[in-house]
Amino acid sequence: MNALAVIAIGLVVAFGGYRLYSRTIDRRVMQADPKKATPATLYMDGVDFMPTHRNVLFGYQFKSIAALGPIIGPIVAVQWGWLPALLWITLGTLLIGWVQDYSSIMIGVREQGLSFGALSYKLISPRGRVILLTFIYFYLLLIMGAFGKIVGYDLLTNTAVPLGVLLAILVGMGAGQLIYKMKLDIVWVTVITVGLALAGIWLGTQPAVREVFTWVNGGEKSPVLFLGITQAQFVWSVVVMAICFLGAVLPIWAFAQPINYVSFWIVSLGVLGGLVGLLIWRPGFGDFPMFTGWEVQGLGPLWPILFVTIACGAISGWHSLVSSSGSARQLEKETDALPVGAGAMYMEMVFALTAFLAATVGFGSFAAYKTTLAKGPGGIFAGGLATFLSYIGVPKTFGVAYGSVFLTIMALTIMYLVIRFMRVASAEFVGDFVPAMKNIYVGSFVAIVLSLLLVWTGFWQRIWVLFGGANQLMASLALMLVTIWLIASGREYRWTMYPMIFMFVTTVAALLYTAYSVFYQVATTPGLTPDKVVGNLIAGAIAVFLVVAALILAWDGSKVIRTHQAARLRAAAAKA
Amino acid sequence: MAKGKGGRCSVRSEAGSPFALMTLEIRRRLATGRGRWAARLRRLRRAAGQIFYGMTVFDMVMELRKAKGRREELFTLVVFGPLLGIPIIPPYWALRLLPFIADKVGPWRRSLMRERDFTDIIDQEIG
Repeated sequence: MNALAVIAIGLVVAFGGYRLYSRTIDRRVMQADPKKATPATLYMDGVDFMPTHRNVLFGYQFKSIAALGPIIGPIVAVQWGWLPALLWITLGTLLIGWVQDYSSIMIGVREQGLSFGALSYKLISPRGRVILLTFIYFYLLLIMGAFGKIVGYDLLTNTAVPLGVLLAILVGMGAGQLIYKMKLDIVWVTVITVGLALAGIWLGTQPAVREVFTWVNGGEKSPVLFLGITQAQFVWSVVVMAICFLGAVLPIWAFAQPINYVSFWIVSLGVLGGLVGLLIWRPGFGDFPMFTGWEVQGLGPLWPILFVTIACGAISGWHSLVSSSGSARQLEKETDALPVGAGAMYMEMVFALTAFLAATVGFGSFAAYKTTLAKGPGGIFAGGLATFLSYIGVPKTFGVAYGSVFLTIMALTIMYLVIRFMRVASAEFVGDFVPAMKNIYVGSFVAIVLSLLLVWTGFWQRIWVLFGGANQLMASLALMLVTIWLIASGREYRWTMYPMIFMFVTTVAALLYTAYSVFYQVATTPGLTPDKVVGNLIAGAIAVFLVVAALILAWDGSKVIRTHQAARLRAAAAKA
Repeated sequence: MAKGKGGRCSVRSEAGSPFALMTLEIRRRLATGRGRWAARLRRLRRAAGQIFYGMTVFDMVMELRKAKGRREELFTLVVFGPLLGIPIIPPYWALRLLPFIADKVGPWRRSLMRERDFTDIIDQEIG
């Protein structure tokens, strides 16, 4: 198997799926009407509802949905062999991924821009809304745990990386001042800030700088401080959370936004350079196995764990939140939903295939991949990207640091936004009982402490599976909302119902399997350290909670579906 | 050019040979094709620019728009709130507190509206 063949398969699936399947659904089932008024054209308040050209929305949608998910997921999942991962990335996107993204936008447009919380209230029940919002809070906590673990434990503990990340953040803050306070032209801001960020990444690889961070880490072999956590892991996990705290409390123009802007350039230059290097190199898969077996040690069986390990690269509940609250309120015409929703998801599939290739071809052998993965998935992507970049003349040491900064910055831009959401959510849920939670500093601090607890006590692969499970479960709940809406409006619904059932059963099975594994480990492993006991119990409790919440929502949803189906049958009988 | 059968322009009589006719036809097709490809390229460039805008600064623009919109909403609320049936603090409390200041309104108004010049400060401590 050759890397170019994989890219070709991805492009064929994307173009073929879009033209043959997606377009058919858009025209025949949803019957998108370009002349019908969308909420953006109807309300046009200049705040939330503003008609925007589909090309602009496509770029915005893709940037919002592309995070660490399509990168880490495939890297971890190829442990079962390259074939299962490739099949899930392509077929998952073709049959389920674009369906969720596109239908979330359409339901938002047809329901006057209602958010998912409001839609679950309207279509399922008031209890449905409360459960969904609580579910989303725990899902956000798992994002913090999964990303925080990878960034704080894996990426930043590499001494070549921290300076590049810290400088990128400082430079990003500077960009905010240049744009908003000094009103400098955006082109100049880009040249200055991106140039400085790249220089910072290079500077971070210099021996003198690495020595400083080796000292921060407590030496070449970082000493263990407590609960099995080394000094390096402690320091960098705290630094990561401090950055997230700042991102949550500072005005968005001063911190989050300009850093996102600078990080976009770091990421897109890396992806572009990597793709060009890949096209020049054209590597084969070497000895990377097509299929290693039905079970992977430390992860679990192929079904259901593979399907939650690759989250955003195939299907992701996060996309439904972005689609319904963002893109649906800015769509100019109904017919734009397809290129924006489905198009962005197919593009994400191609993005996931790039990470898939970094894992399968970037290390030369399966053994080298496994050795590097033992230290963490971040090193796989960084090493793979460095190999691709070396074919366009980028030195490998710089390439590895660049890849690590790429991942870290991408994770951080999501993490501080997640803390913002968690702060707002906790103020809404418990603010009336605990008025202190309405304070932005207190709310953010509580979210940070919960996240650190998860980072310090959890095993990264397990947290990643939990995150994937919660993510995919939210996707199935989004598909359930769409299915209910389709049935209520008398349209064909099997194209969302079957994916919903598959995702629901798979993710519940994955969460139950994870809960069983962790409780079993606590119960049967003598001498387990307190941190592992606490970590396993927390992971298990979260898994059980998510399953219970999902089952309640599914029960309420199924009652509504049966009611609507009975009404349809009665209407059909009356007609006959 | 003379109009031939089917309304087509015929240059045969002017150009004088099939070769010239063919050359003209090729040139015409190239020009139209180039024009079409140029239009396609322009559309592609515009689309790429829009996608790039969406990926880069669009969220900043959205955020600015929202901040501006929220300030305008606040202004409308404060200024026109009572007209919309929303009891805004100044008019509501002004009515509640009016009985306490009713007898002071006359002197207050006189003091506020009185013309002043710099000689008014002669009675103050200077220096």
